[in-house]
Amino acid sequence: MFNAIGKPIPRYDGLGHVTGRTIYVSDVTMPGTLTCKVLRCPYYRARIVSLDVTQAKRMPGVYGVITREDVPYNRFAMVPDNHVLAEEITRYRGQPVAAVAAVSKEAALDALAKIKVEYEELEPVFDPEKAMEPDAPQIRPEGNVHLFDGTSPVRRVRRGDIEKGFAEADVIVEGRYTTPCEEHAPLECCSTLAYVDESGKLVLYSKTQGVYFVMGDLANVFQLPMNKLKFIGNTIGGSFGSGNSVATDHIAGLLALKTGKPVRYTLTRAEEMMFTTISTPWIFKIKDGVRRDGKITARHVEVIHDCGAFTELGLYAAEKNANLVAGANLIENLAVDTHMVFTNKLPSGSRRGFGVNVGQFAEQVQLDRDARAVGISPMAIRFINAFHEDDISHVGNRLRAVSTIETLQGVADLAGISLEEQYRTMSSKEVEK
Amino acid sequence: MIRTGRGISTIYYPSGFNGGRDPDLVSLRIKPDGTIDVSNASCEMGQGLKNVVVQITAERLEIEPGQINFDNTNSDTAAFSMDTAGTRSTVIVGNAILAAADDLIGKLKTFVGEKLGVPAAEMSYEKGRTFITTQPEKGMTLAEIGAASNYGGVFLMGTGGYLPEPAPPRDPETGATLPSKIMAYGSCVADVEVDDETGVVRVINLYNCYDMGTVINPLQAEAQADGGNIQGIGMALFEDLAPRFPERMEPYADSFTDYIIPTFMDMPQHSATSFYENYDPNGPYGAKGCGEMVVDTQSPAIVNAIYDAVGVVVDSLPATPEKVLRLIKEKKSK
Repeated sequence: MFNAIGKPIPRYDGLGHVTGRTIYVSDVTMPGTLTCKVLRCPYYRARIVSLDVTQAKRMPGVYGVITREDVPYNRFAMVPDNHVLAEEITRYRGQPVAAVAAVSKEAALDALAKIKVEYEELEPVFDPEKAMEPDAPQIRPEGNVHLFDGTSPVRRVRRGDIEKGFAEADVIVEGRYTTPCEEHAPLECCSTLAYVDESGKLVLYSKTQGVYFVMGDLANVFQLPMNKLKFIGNTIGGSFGSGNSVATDHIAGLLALKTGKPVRYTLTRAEEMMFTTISTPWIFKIKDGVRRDGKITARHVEVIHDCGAFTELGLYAAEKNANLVAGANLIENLAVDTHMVFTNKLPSGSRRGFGVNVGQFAEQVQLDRDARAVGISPMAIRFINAFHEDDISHVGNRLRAVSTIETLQGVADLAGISLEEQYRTMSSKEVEK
Repeated sequence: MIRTGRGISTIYYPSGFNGGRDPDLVSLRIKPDGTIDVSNASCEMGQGLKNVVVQITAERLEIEPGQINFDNTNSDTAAFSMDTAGTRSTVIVGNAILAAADDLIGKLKTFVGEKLGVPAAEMSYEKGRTFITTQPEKGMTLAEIGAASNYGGVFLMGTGGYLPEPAPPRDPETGATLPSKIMAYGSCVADVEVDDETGVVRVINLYNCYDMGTVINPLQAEAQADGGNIQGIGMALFEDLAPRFPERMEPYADSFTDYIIPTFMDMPQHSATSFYENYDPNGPYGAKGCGEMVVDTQSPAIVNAIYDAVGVVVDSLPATPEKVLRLIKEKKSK
């Protein structure tokens, strides 16, 4: 049927990768390149009382030192509330405060040591449930709890009549599920080589995974039109979502503009792990009403998304999660209440199915609890509740090309599980009467 | 003693940004020798985008994959891409390629038609050749067109874009919206061994069946599923930057000594993946996209398998030996 589609054609770039011929951003060198190092706040939450870079600027080999005063526009990210360089209040340990470009790593580190910062350490909050309490330290001027649509602390999904659904159930099953702080762990750490070309254009060899996703944001930080900003890259050593958040492009670019020389800013592995966006923690509280025959008659999900210090991609994740957290099951009576809370940890980045995989962990472990509560098999409860073709999703749209039943049959086949007759012959296309 | 257990999970995953509104653009140019340059600023980060681009382009233009060059190298030359994320590139770049290819074919018909004195509507395109529909012997190959257009001062470029259907404004009371028109599906069976004296969990077998629509390249789809298994095992059993959270943030991992990701020693002895190719009319040639879905099935299946083995629910990821052992002890003391 197809000519090229479906063919096991070897990777376009595979041989280059495995023979070391591929040139990554981290491999690119340029004569006269300065090394960038960043001074980071050592506290989870602090007030910067004073910041003095006078001595650092005088250090040998130093071409440029920048603080927030040197940033044309200091806010960035998908929801632009993050600070390029720290303002008065810092919100997470490792937040960039000042940056140096010098002739060598040693000269840059020596200069960082000469920057004088006086901090007033403030009480941090880490636990999202504690951050929601009224007497918690308020880490943002707007408060710790995000207001959806600017007004509501709760982001709702409502379907059917949940009280009626619980009344129809034979058992009520409850579970609480949590996920931790997780790292992307790409092979290539975040890196930028920035220089100003002969026409005055700022060129960034960047490890971003979305050159246009971050371009508008960075053009704003630099206050440059997009024809004065060029990204080179797009072949990178893994990302897993980390490259949707800017970690080095802004600072390297600012220092290249300031010094007029090429600037290399590459994170060490420790910096990559400790100071870039992460998968922030989630809490899911699921309450299901289940009938003896395994049908879920009602489900209530309460979600708390710990967004970390700044929004980054956290709001996007909370919205996506809310749409999908009830799982690939037809549940006629459903309520989802999502909260998003700010805490003093690294901002919520995108990572490996972010927002969705955490909810599906909770939902699928809950489904086994439901099955045990009514004495049916884990396989059976999935077939009984599965979405079928043309079912309406939890947020009101018709589902097409639905395959829950068929992939369950497929995986049973792979694992050598012999399904009961009614499940072996079930189809997404036919709804049981 | 070692106890064995089996767990199941089933998930679904949307293609593209939540709520749509994430377009991509593609341009197709013909070189003097008739080879084709595809341009789009999506990122290759190991997922195999370049093959997907080449294979979809080759399919639509009915030419060999080896005739195609992909340029995503820089933002001055590569066509706009919203992002490389959200399991979006196969569907959105793919659909933009189809639009650009149709545009290019139209321009080839006009170009060759003018040379032969025939209206474009009476021209056909097949397997790289543009010809008069009623006189198939009269026409030009891509190589002939490439030379004639470039050296003739005529720029033949096909352009196209694709915008996933934008969601309506989300209803603040019911949450009604449109996450994506395209949903992929997957189910998993995990077999584990749990040492009830140490709490150590080993994944023995991992089976997955995925519906990612039409599989563009089975080698890459299987490899992506294998990579997903590695990440899924990491999420299930190991990965945690701050193990004492929420009590405190310290200790916090700063190296792969403390932040454990799976190595070859942690791979299942046996893993197998199959595909149920449920054609999706919204995707290019029925493809749905696969990136993030393949890291989702493993953690619930493994946690459910741990329950099957030792009768405890690890409701807090990851299922470290400490947690598993503590739960086993709590269960025994009841």
